[in-house]
Formats: sequence, structure tokens, C-alpha cells
Amino acid sequence: MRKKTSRYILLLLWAISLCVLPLSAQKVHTVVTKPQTPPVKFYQGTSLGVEVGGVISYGLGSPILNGEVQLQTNLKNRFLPVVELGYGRTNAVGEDTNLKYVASAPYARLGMDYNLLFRKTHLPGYMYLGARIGGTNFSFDVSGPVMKDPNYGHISSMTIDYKGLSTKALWAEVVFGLRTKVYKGFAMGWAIRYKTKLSVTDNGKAEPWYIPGFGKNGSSSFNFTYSLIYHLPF
Amino acid sequence: MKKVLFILTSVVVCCCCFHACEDDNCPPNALSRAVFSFVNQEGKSIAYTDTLSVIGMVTPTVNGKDTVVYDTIINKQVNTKTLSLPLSYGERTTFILRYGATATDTIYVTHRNTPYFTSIDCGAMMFHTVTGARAHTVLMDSLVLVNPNIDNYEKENFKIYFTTVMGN
Repeated sequence: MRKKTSRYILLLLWAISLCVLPLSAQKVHTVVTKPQTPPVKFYQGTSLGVEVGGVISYGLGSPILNGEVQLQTNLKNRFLPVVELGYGRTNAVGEDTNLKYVASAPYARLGMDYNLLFRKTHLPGYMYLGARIGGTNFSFDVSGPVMKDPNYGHISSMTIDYKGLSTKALWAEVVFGLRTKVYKGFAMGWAIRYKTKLSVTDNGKAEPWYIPGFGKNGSSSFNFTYSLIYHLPF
Repeated sequence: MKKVLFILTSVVVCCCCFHACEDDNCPPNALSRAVFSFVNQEGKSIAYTDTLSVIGMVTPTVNGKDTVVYDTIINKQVNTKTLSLPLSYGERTTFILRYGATATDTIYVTHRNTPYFTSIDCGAMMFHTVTGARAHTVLMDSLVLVNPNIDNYEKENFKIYFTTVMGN
């Protein structure tokens, strides 16, 4: 009886193994059908933007007035080459030094943004990271009170008064920003820009205090821009 | 309406913050001084161990009259290897070097002055370009102009040569 039972168990195990082993050895082929995405157009339009953050900042008391227009093309909803043309001016007087600095000049930037959300075409805007190279060629005036000799009885003195000192500046920028549609073809966006100075020509008499397009002269500067944008109908 | 107010407030706050983020680094040294190094006949740095005083002298015109102004810049300094002396805002500056109580050398420097604008926050400095230099020598051997540009970056502008007795 015991022998019979063990034989049945063996037969059952063999039968199960016949059924299961081939299944486990077999590779399961599943066909995944990708959702049909429409092909992304190469040219997706051009937009024209006006930077208004500089005007707001001027209204809040900054001695610098800056305005610029941006012409940007959208390629494959991913690459966004941009040209930015602006004009900056200042007429500032130092509170402690009483030195006056006057400059006004156009500037230009060239660069490209990368749409970080290029796959999400349903969104009304995009988040981007970009780079720019900017430059300006300008002249500035500097004047100030009489400089008295701090030694030798404070008798001798000189006046600082320079007109039309010319200089050239070149800088690079890293840009991070957001842009969103507001109404029909209109959009708005803000961007944070980290700028690093590449070169400024020295004229031997003065350093430019303000560089149009760059901001206050320093090795680097942060800048915030706020733009109103219109998508051109072509 | 709330959204518009929120956006406008954010823009204004960001404008204020980032306007303030620009750096205003002023140079650590805003003084321009002529640097004189003491060297021996081989050009090696030496120290004058006895007391040394330096008096600056200028001759400005005040109310149409030529005047002479003396300014003691260094008073009885010992172990002097270099001198860092201010030039005047005039065209000539004379330095009288008094070694102890025995000898006196006189250095005459002619220079061009250029006011240099740093920024409206940091102010302006005076830079000088040496156009000529000579010395009436008693103790020193000679005076050599090394670098005529005197600005806020202190560097050697003149070498003052002395004859020293060489020991083993």
C-alpha cells in the first residue's frame, strides 16, 4: 500500500514538472505598442518679448534704467535660440563720495535656451535653462568734487572730470526661467540670470561703474528679468 | 485678481532682492605710494640698521606766492629695508633722507598725476607716473627707476644702491 502511494506521488510530481518546467523555460514575449505621438515640427514659431523688470526697478528707486527686446525662435519645442537687444542708462551720484557717473549705451546678447519640459507639450508654458554671451561698446562720464592732497599740508588739489571715456565689455550668462501663456498669443515670463564678466578694456583713468546689459561692474552679478511676450503669427 | 496681485508682488520682491545682490567690492588699499628698496652693489636687499627719517618737501604756489611745505613721513625708523612714500598732488616731490645725525641724501621726483575713478561707492584714487628722478647723494650710491607707474598695488618703483663692505 505504501509502495503504491509513493508511486502515485512520483507520477504526480513528474506530471506537474512536465507542465511547469516548459512554461518557466519559455520566454514570454509581450508586444508593447507605443502610443502614436505626432511628429514634432522643427519650426514652432517666433516670439517677441519686452523686458519690463528694469523699468519697475527704476521706478522703485534704482539709478539704472534698462530696457530690452528679445526675439526668440522655438525649434522642436526644445531649442530656443534668442537675440536680445537693449539699452541701459544711468546718472548716479555716490552718497558718500559725491562722485557722478553718467553712461548710456546699447548692448546685445546672443544665446539659446533649452526647454526642460519639452516632452510635456500640453503645458501652457515651459521651464528653461539657457546661456548667453553679451557685449557692449560704450563711453561714460565721471566727475566729482575737488580731491585734496592728504599729505603735504593739504594744499595741492585736483579735480576728477572725465568725459567720453570709452570701454568695451564682454560677459557670459547662465539663465533659468519660466514662461507661461496668458491670453491667446500673449505670454509672460521671468528669469534669473547669473552673469560673469569676461573682459573690460581699461582706459587707465576710470573703471566703468555700470556696464549696460551687465549691471554694476563686478566680477559677477545676479539679475532678475520680467518679460511680456507676444507670439508672432508666423 | 489674487493671482495677479501675487505675481506683481513676486516681481517687485525679486526686483528688490536681485538689485541688492550686485557686489560692491572696493579695493583694500586706496593709497598710492612710491616704493624704494635698499640694495647693495650686487643688487641684494639690505637693511639700514641705524635710525632713518624721511621728510617730504613740496613747493606749491599759495595765493600767487611760492611756498615750501615739509612733511615728516618717517621718523627715526630702524632696520629699514624699504620705504613707502606718498607723492604730492603737484608735479614735484622731494624726499630728504636723514641717516642718524650724520648724513643726508635728497631725492627729487617729477611726476604726472592721474585721478583714477574706482566707483561712486568707493571713490577715487590718485595714481602717479614718474617722469624723472635724480638724487643728491652722500651715503647712497645711486638711484634707479624700476617702474614709473605708481598705483594702489604696491610694487618696487625705485632701487637705492648703497656700497656695503662684504663679509665672509
